[in-house]
Amino acid sequence: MMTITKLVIYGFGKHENVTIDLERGINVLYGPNEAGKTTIRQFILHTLFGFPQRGSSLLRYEPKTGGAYGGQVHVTDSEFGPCVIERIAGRSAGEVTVRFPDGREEGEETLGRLLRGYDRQSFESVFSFSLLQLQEIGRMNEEELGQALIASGTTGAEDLAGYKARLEKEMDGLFKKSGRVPEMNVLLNEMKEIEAEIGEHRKNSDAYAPMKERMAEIALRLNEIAEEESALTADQERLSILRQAAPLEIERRKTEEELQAIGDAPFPAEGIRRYEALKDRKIAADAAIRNLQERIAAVGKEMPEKPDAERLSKLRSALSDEAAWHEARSLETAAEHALRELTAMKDGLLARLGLADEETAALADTSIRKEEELHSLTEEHDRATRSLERLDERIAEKTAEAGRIADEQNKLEASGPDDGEIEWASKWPTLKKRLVAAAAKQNTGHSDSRQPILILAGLAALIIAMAIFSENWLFAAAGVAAGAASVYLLLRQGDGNDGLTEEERLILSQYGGREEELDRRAERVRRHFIELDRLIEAEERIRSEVGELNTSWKSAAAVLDDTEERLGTFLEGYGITGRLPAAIMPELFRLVRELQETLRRIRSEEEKRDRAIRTAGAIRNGAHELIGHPVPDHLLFPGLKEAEMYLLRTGEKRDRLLEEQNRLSDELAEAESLKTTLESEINTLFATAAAEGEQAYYEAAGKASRKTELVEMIGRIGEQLTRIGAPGKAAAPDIEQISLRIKENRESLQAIAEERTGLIKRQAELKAQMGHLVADTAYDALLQEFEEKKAAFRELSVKWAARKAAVSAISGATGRLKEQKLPDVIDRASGWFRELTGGVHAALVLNVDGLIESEGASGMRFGLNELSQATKEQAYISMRLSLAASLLDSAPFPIIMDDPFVHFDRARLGNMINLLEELKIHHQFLYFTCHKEMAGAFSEAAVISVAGAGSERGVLR
Amino acid sequence: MTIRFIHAADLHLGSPFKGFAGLPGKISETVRESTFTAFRNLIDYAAGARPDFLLIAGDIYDGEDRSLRAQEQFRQGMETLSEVGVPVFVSHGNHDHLSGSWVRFSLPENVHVFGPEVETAELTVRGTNVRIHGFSYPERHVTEPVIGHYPQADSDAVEIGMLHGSIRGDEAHDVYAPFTKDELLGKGYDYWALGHIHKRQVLHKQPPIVYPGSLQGLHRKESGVKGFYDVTIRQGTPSLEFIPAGALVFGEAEVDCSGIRHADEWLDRCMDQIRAFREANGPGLIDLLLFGIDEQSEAMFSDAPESEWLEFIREAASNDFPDIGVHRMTWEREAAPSVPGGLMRDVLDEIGSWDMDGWKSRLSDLYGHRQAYKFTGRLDEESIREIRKEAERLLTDGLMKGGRAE
Repeated sequence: MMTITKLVIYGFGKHENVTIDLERGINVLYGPNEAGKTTIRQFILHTLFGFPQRGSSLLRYEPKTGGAYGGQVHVTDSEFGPCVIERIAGRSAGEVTVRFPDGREEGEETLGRLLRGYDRQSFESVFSFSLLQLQEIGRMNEEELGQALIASGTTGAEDLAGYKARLEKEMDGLFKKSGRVPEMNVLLNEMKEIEAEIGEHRKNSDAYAPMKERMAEIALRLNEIAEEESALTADQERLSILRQAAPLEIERRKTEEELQAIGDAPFPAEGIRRYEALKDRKIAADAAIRNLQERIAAVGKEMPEKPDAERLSKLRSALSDEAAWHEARSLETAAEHALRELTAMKDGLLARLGLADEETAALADTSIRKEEELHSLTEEHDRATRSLERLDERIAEKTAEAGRIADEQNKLEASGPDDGEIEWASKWPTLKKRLVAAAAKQNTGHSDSRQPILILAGLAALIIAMAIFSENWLFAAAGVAAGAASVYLLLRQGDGNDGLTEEERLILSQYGGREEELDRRAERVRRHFIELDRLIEAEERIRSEVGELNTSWKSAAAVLDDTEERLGTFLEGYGITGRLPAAIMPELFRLVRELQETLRRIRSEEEKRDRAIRTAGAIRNGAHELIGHPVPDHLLFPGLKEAEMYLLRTGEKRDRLLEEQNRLSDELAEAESLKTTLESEINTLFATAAAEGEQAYYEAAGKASRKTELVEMIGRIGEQLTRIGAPGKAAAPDIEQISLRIKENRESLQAIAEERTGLIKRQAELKAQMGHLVADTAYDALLQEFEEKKAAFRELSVKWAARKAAVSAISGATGRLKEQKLPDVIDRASGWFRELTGGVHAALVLNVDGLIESEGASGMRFGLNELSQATKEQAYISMRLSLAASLLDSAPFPIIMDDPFVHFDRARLGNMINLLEELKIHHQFLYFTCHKEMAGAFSEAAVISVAGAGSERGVLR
Repeated sequence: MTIRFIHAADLHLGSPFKGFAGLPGKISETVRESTFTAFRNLIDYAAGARPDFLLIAGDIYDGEDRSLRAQEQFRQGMETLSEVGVPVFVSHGNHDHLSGSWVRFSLPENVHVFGPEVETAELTVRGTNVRIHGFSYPERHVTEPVIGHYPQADSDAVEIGMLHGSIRGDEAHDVYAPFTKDELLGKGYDYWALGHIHKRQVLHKQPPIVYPGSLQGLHRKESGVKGFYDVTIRQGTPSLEFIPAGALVFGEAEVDCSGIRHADEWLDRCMDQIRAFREANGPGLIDLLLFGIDEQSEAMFSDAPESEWLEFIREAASNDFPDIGVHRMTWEREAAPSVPGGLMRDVLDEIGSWDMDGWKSRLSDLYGHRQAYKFTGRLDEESIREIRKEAERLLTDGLMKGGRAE
């Protein structure tokens, strides 16, 4: 026995954190409407059998407020002991844990075993029922009610029954044994039709073999026809030939007769043409012979004498001198030319030398030695000339210098000082001495009398420098004097003279302080005289030098005269007179030499010319002799050549004519031989034709020609006959007969052609038919369709069979149930039903149709639908409880009831309570009710109040 | 000494596809032409590669259903190979056995068709003798072993055996000309060109014993890339290259549905998988396997019946991938709803308690129907498994979803 000891709801529907303790035996869970009684009942079922799938018809009772979903059901089981089944959110069915006191935690599998393999549906159909289910029974028809009653104790059989009905309906839709409309019956009919069609096709195919045979026959017959036709055609051809050949045959016979008449007519082949050709050639040969004879005579006349060979050889020899001739002539001309040039050159040279003739010059000595002599003479003459020129220059120079000095002297005298000055100057030095002495006395020691002395010394130095510079020795002397004076003054400086005299005072007053100025005036005078002295001296020196130079000039002029004298003598030796400048002497000497050379060449050229004239003369004479008369020189060799040419031509012509003569003779001989041959051939021809002379020959020819013609005609006819294919010689043909046979043959051929057309047409038809059969895919398609239908049929068969099996199984199982279990269940239920109804209803019985009926106390039977609502419910509850009792061993579950007793009257309710109290030993009962009195109805029951609001914590007893 | 040849088998030309229903129009067309397309691919390849010869180990046609067109297509293919000078060796199998009454098309000279008894065709390839042994099925069923009639190898030549049949003890297939691997190896051949089994497999490597598989998948269970082998035997050493030829590939695309809330997310994932399939295999037919279905995606899927979801995907796929057909959708739920106790379990136990007869009697309305039985397929263990699974799904699903209201 399994007892639920406690429910712990974490969150389920409206309940949250609710704990309910339950007792063994009867538990009454009381609460007003909407208190959450049904929710608690669902909580138990959900927790045991899993939360329903989302989307299933059952509510899942997930808390609307969110929070935990699920809870625990605490159970004590006679077999498994105490355990806690917890189911919380997880997979859609929820996560299950079964906990045992020893700490084991198991899952769905253990729960399954704990629930003895029962699923919710099976459980509900026996152990959990509501008023609603009882009320539903009232609306069912009798049969279904009965089924449901059975089912109610046999786990969901009411569904099974419905399902079975559905399957049976489906089966009927698929197949009925003798139906026409169900799918498979339709298919069967279709297949039958296809089978018939396939049979049809097979039959068509069977026709193929006869067709094939017929085709073979036709082919055979066509062959025969072809043979017949070709035989007829051949005959037709033969006949047509015969008809064509008939006229020819007749002509042949005629011709053969004429030929016989002519008989044998000998004549050489091509006799006429050959004869006439021979004749023509003979005439031609005669003409040729005559012509040749005439030509031989003409050649003989034309033939020249044989030419003179000796003269020819002389001519050739003379001709060979042509080169020598021309050479001599050109030598002569060249020499003349050279002579003319040389003579001109000689005259030129003579003119340049100024000679009247060349006699002297030609013999003069022009050796090197002479040239050397001339050379030295010339040089000597040059030297003398140059010496004289130099003296002239120097004399002119000196004369000019003397002039210049004289000028200078005059100029100096004109600018010189006057006489008073000159006199003062001569006194100044004395005065000065006195002045100085006076100054010195006056200023002993202090006056700087040195200054004038130093100036004097500087002046002296200047003068000396000027003298040195101008080489004026008067200046130099003055300088020295000045120097000496300054030295003297310097030396005297020491003696100061302070004791002045009056004179001295006068001097000092007159001249004192003016010393420098006075010195300069004295000095100017002095320099004038020095300059004058120098000029006079230079004049004298130049005069003496000019005198010396004049003496030298005279001696030089004498030398020059002497050398000119000697040169003139030298030139006279060469025939040159008169004085000539020495510079051209060498040129003269060279011209003389050139003249001598020219004269020598003139002589040589004259010799050459003479030699050439001699040679040409000899050649000319020889030529004139050979030509036979004198000719101008320019025609000399052409004349010789002409003579030679003439001789040669004559020779050639003679040779040619001789050759021509020989050739013509040969031809003549040939022509004569030909003529003889032709004559003999003509005779042979005559002999062959057995003719005496030309006339007879021509007659023979006529006969032979006719014979040939006839033979040819026969041949031609023969050929024609052969060509049209006539047989050999035949009897005279019968044209009418032939035409008749041709007509017959044509008719036969016509008939054959018609037959063949028919056969070919038939053949084509057959071929098309056979081709169609052979290529027909309809048969394959049909087979395929048939197979597809078969497959479809088979699939449907399985479908049907599966339904049939399912239906059979359901019937079988329910049947067996009815047979084995139901009687016990009904017996027990029957007893309880009787108790509940207080004996009003004696029993529940199963009638023959498998329906449950109620048997009244009077033995009257009622269908369940005939019972009152409450009684029906009592019957139902009895059945359920009986079932539960019968399953006690295999399924000792609590029985959960949802207010099923509301329609019961007090008496029957009392009976019911008594029954439950009896049964509570074997089952725990959870009784949910909204009727307060029910809470106190049981004598021994745990009463649990389910709070109205439902969400309070805890539910108390 | 190098020999190169192509080994193909199980062409099933003109065979319809089995087990597909409701294919969209364009795909349907492709599907119908697929065996021909695959065959043309084979011929084009052979005409291009010009091997020394081509072996076809049975089942060129699908049987009684063979159409004239199929035969004509085959003949044309052979003509093509004749033009390029590739000899073809054909042994007919159980589907195209010799005693059929159909019209025979004359095949070109290059095609050698083996007779009903084991015989040997010889040819010389560049100086090497090649001996090919084989036979054609004289009738629909050859249940006796034929391997005993094959001659022992002659040491000089390259020896090839063609055999259309199944290995002994293979229960999955009806027994045809059964043999064992040792028997084949015992012949000392250089290559065994097998046919009949549509799944490609190499039974033995040296010497090779090979099923090339069907040229084109013909049933939704024949998934994966199909084709033929291009075989080269060089100095006695064989090398095999598999050449895909199928016009369509049947396959499965798995779509992870975890964490999906909105249909467009799911559509994107489906399209991604379809695209991946398309890129890997080319045109094809797909089963979409939905896995990782969690509460969220389950909640989304529960908005509409499964058939509508399939329709939704098909529509979307036909826009983006006109050559991909979504054939079906399988829902692989992570956790099946827990089976409730009580009556529900009784019901499911009831289904589980039925034996074969139990099933048959319960389903006889359909499976025993005089017309329908031909098309239902046999009620074997597999189909019962399928039906049972579906029935259980109906029960758990239907009842769980229809939970009662309070």
